Amino acid sequence: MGLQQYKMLLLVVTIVSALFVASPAIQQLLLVYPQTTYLTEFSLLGPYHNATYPYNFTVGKNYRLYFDVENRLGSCAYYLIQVKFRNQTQSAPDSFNHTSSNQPSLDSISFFVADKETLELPIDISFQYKLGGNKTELDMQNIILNGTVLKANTLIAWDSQRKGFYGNLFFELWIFNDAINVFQYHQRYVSLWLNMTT
Amino acid sequence: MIKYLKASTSITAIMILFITTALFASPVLADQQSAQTAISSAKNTIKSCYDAVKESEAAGANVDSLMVTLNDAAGLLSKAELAYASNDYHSAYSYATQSKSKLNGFISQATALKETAINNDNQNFTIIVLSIIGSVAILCVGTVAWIVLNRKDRKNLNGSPTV
Repeated sequence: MGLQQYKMLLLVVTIVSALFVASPAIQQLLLVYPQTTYLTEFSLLGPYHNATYPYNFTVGKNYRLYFDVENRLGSCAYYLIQVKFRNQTQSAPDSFNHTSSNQPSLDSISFFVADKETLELPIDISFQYKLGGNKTELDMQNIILNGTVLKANTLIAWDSQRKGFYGNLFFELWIFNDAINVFQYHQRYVSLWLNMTT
Repeated sequence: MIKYLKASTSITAIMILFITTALFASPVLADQQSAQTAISSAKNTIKSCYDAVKESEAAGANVDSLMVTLNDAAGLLSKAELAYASNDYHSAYSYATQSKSKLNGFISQATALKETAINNDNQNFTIIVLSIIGSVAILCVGTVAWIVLNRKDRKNLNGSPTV
C-alpha cells in the first residue's frame, strides 16, 4: 500500500471517528428542530373517534363524544372547557371577532396538558326535554353531562325551513393566564347542532 | 323521685347528644362560607402546583405522572364549583377538600423531579462538551498525521530515501 492510499485511509478514519465521538453533541445540538408555531388544537370527535357526529337526538338516550386537546404552546397549560347551550337566536361565539358567547356556562371541565401532549376527554351526554303545549316550542330542561344534571331551561322554536327543533351545544376553550390569575377565552370552540326529535 | 331522676338523665343525655352533634357535624354539613373558603383554598393549591409543574417541565423533567394527579385535583375542583353553583355546599366543601388533599406532597415531588432533571441536564452538558473536545482532538491528531504523511510523500517524490 502506497503513501497516497495511507493518506486516504487516514482521512476516512479521522472523519468517521470524529463524527462518531461527536454524535452525542450532534444529536443534542443540531438534530433538535426549533419550535416556530405555538398553538392549541381543540377538536370534538364522535362516538367512533372520528368526525361522524350524532345529529338526531332523542330524550334520555346517552351519546358519547370526545374532546381532543393538543398543547403546542411550549409549556404546560391549564385549560377550561365551558359547556354552553343555545337556541337559534341566542348568542354564539364569534370566530371572526374571537369572542366567546354571552350564554351562561352550564358546566366547566378544567384540566392540564403538558407541552407537546394531547389529552382526550370522553364525555357522556343526554338530554331531557319536552314539547310545549302548542307544539311549536320545545323546552330543553336538562342536559346530563357525565352523570351530572345541568339545568338548561332553554326554549327552542320550531324551525320551519329545516323542519325540526334545533339546539346548539357548544364548548368553549379557555386558558389560565398566569400573569393575571384568571381564565381567558382561548378563541377556540367546537359546536354541534342537534335535531331534537320528539 | 326515681321518675324525676330518670327524666333528668334523659334530658342530660339529649343535651350531650345535641352538643356533640353540633360540634362534630359542623364540618360535615358545610355552609356557604366554608364551601367558598375550601374552593378558594383548593384553587390556590392547584395554582401553586401548576407553577411547580411548569418549573419542572422547563428544567426538562418528565411531568406525566404529575399531570395525572393534577388533573384528578382539577376534576374534583370542577365538581366542587358545580356543586357550589347548585347551592349544594356540603358536596362543594367535600369535593374541594378532596381536591386539596390529592395534592399533598405534590410540590416536593415536583421539586424532586426538577432536581433530577437539572442533574441529568448537567450530565448531558458534560457529555456534549467531552464529545466535542474528543472530536476536535481526533481531528487534530488526524491532521498532524496527514501532514507528516504528506511530507514523507513529498520527500519520496523528490527522490529522497524512504525510512
